[in-house]
Amino acid sequence: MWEQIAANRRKSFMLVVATALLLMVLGYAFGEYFGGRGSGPYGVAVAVVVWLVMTLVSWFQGDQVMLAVSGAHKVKKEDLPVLFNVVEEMTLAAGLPKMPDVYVIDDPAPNAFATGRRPETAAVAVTSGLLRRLNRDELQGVIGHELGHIRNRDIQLMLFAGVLAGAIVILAEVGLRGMWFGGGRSRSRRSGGGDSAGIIAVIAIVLAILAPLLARLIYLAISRKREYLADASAAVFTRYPEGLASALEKIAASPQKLAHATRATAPMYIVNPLAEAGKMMARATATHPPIAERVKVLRGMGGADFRSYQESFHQATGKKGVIPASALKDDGGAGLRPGSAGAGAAGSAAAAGPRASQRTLARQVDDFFYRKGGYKQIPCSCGTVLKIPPDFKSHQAVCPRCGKVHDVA
Amino acid sequence: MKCPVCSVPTYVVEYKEIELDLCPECGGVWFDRGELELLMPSEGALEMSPARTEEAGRPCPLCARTMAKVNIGPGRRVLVDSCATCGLWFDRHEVEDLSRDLAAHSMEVDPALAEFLGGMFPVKGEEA
Repeated sequence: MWEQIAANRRKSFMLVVATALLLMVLGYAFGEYFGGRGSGPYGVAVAVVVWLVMTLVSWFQGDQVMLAVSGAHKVKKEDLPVLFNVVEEMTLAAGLPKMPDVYVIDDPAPNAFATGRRPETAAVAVTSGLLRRLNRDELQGVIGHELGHIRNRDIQLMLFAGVLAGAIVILAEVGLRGMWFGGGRSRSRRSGGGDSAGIIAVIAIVLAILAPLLARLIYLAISRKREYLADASAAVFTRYPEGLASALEKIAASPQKLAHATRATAPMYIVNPLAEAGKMMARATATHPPIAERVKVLRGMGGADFRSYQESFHQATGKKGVIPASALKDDGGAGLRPGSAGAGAAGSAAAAGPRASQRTLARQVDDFFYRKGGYKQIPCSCGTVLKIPPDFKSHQAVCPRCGKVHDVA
Repeated sequence: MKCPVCSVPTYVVEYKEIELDLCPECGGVWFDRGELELLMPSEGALEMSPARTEEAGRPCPLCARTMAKVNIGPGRRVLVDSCATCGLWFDRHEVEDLSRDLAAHSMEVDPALAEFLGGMFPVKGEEA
């Protein structure tokens, strides 16, 4: 475990160095281009300042900004007992020092993400669409995946990597715009337009176009690897890979797209909310591996340990492996457990357990947002509950089951 | 949510963890996508095919896109409005029609739903 985290740190360090170098080269080229010859170091200074400011902001505000941008509401145990319970269970299974804060986003598209720079301050957020669609086993798989990200220190790594890539993208964008709108003119006035100025211009333009792509590709490659490891973690925590596999299928089959997802927050989610189905470019530029592949690996697991995941991964993809050697070494060799209904996700009518738990979850999340939205709950003596919206026009509402008339006002 | 037919605010009725939206004016019923499927006996129970009809398309009460007119149920006998992403709109008595169609094809509805709908939409029907 510790070695795994250390490997993450080494990787994050290498990434910081490589991407920082890219950032500085870009800054130097822009300096030479806009400021005339010899101004390269000033460009580097500007680039470093941009990066530092962004890093500081994201370091101290990152999680809050993430949650605010996504429109997340913090939930207490009494709001959503089932969700809270699952997070508690998975916190224990993952051996985290503290249970992460739990947030819910009101969005019909099913998805989830984790955030926070240290396990002690981490948070996990799920959409209402996810809670409405999953049963308890599947939710456990998803939460296990997110807590896997927290335990494997992926959030820290991805935050850092994301900010660096972001700084490069912003610099390149601003620089390119500057060249387009008059930067070139002032340069030719100042230097008289020599050969070297032309070469610098070409280098600056090429860098401005290539650097963001390169930064993004490095970032995405690492991101995908972290997803497999988080999947493996979820399987180990839950000892029931089928839960996550069937959750992923449900999420993939959902027709809704996440309303709140932006390019910046997309890599944080359990499945890429912006991905368009059937796109060839998707493989190289995806933040997440293809769902079908993830499901296949999970379903192929013979046991509930990292080694089984590794073997199944190798069989499904033909690639070497995604689990660090350290995780395989002290692997427990735990067995799989059956699903909570026995029948699992076979979808048979007899599997009333998962369906019932899915209904309970759906009602809990609906009620949470009805309360937020100022709905009035009126229990009727026949067993129904009427939920009246704040903008309801008439003063009375009829219980459709027993015909009793309730006063609304 | 506003009724796609009368555009007045609807209210929510929950019974045994089943939830639907009800229009106080026309008695139409909305089920969120996935809500009705959860209660159906098998995957095929809610299959639908596009309907040929003169009725004008209504806007989805959640996303405002025009809903499709579809025939739903094992016998494809009930004409309802369907939004592919959000859910299904049943006019008054159409839920009842669907229950009858399911029964005719000897498909059993979830007992909780049957009890709920049985109380809500009695076969003889009270007129409001």
